[in-house]
Amino acid sequence: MATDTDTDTEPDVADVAGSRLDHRLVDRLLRGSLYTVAALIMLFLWVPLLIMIVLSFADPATTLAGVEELTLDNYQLAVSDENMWSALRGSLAIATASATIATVLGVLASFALTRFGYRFLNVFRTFGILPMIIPGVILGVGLRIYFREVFAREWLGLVALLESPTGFVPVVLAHSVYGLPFVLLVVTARLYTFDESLESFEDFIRALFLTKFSTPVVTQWMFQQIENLNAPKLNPVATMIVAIIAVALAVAMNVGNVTGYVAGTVDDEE
Amino acid sequence: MATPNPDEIEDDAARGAGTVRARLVRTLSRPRTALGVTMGPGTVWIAGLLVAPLVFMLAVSFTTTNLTDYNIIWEPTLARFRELLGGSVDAGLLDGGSVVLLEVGSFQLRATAFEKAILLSYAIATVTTLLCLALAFPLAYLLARRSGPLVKATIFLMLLPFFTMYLVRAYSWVLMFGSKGVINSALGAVGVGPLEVFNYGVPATIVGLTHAYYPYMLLTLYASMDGLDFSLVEAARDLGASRIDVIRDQIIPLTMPGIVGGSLFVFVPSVGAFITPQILGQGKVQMVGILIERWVYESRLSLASAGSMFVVVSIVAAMVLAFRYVELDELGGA
Repeated sequence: MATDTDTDTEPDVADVAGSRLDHRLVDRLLRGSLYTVAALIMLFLWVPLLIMIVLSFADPATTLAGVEELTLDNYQLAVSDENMWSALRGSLAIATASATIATVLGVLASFALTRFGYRFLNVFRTFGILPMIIPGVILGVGLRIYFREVFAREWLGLVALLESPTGFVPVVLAHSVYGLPFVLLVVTARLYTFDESLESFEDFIRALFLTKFSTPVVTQWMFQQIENLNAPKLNPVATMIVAIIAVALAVAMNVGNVTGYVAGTVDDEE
Repeated sequence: MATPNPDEIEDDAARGAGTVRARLVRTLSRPRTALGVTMGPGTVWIAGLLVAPLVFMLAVSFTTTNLTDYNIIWEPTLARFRELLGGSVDAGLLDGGSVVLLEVGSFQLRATAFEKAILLSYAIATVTTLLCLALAFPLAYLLARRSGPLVKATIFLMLLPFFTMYLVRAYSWVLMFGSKGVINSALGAVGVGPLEVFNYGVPATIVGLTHAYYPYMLLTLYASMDGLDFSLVEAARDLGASRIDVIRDQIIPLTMPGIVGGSLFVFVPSVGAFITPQILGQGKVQMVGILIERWVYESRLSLASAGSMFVVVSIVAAMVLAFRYVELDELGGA
């Protein structure tokens, strides 16, 4: 109560009263501009994707200004591309294999990371999260040279598996390394804390994890099409990817307590 | 999945069940075995597929690649670095020789194509990091201070674009930019005419990178602000601190781990970016990732390795910085 009277007596000084009015106005202005900034960022994030989605139904498929009609022709063109389908099949196999490896390794390591206090574990944690920031080109080039020079020698007998630097096994191995940080972050967060306020953060990581493994999907095919600026084929495929990911994200955020089950923190409660 | 779960291990051991599972569980309960089983595979993976390739690449950067049979000649040499920094000594660089970097009057600052690429990469990464920081800070603050269904919905809508494939997002900007892109044709329709800024090039690359790595910044800032005690901020305000004082003396120091972490997560991948400058630069933005990729394609493995070292430096610096200011695992809020 004492503090209340304190603040109440302050406005007696005209100067302070004036600044207090200002204060409220400034407060409102600041809050307003904060929301405006948030809205602008939302636009920045969404506008290109929305335009892409609209263009996927448009003919011609490159600019909004010249759209003559809305059609499903682009979709027909895209799904009839046999190369796209074979790229999709190959990528799904790579994603499945690498996600499985990363999940097993990451979940195992997370137990030790949260339960033991050895110094070595901190080093492991640092290196385990490192792939998140190493540029793809750098580790990609490193692994490629490494596989070629180290494993392509006959002494390990792995020639058949690793002979092509861009073959199935090397690509799966590379992607498993890239997925590891996300598994570590999700599972250790789960094991460290039961704080529910972290839920949205976990959702974030979980979904990020999901995307990470969807990344190899049709990447190579898309890259080729982008280089040729093949908009009619790309727009529908990219739109479908956005749609699939939106559904997967919603599932991951609502139903997806998968990591919780794997980490054994959920079945205790249920 | 047959992964033994420590929680169950303890429970079952206590119950003393005599099954095969229980025996397995008992074995695994010994700290040493447990450590081996849990950490072993991951350690092998990280040592063999992350540390070893990077160390190997460091070694290869001091060698020569025979350009007729593409074999690495294992004789230590500094020639690759000299090639990169001094121009093409033995025609090693496609864009060898030097280009004019800066011209003021009669003064000319010359640089090799590689030096120019390095400077450009670091400059683009710096601008991208600052942009991400400026865009993410207010939003992270807003998300940390407010709660309720509207905020939840906002978070979902904010996050959705990030989970779309990197390539899809970069491609959506390919449609926006360009002389005949969405932005320029819209401007043309209004009569402002196509602007060079919205053509493919450095600005487009920066926008693409900002769009791509923004979630990392938002995530780390939000994680560090979420745990922040905002009553401190109010107390400081009540005691007469101005808004700027509060931001400078309270919010920024308290969220420093998030700022450093987020900046690392944006800066380092941006330095070595390849896909974004490739498709949004359309040949006009020669970042270091593009040069490295081209050299690998041409099987100039030693040169590519030496070039990569200039990006690895930023990774090492990032790690030093991370250890100095913040434990790396804190970056994810874990």
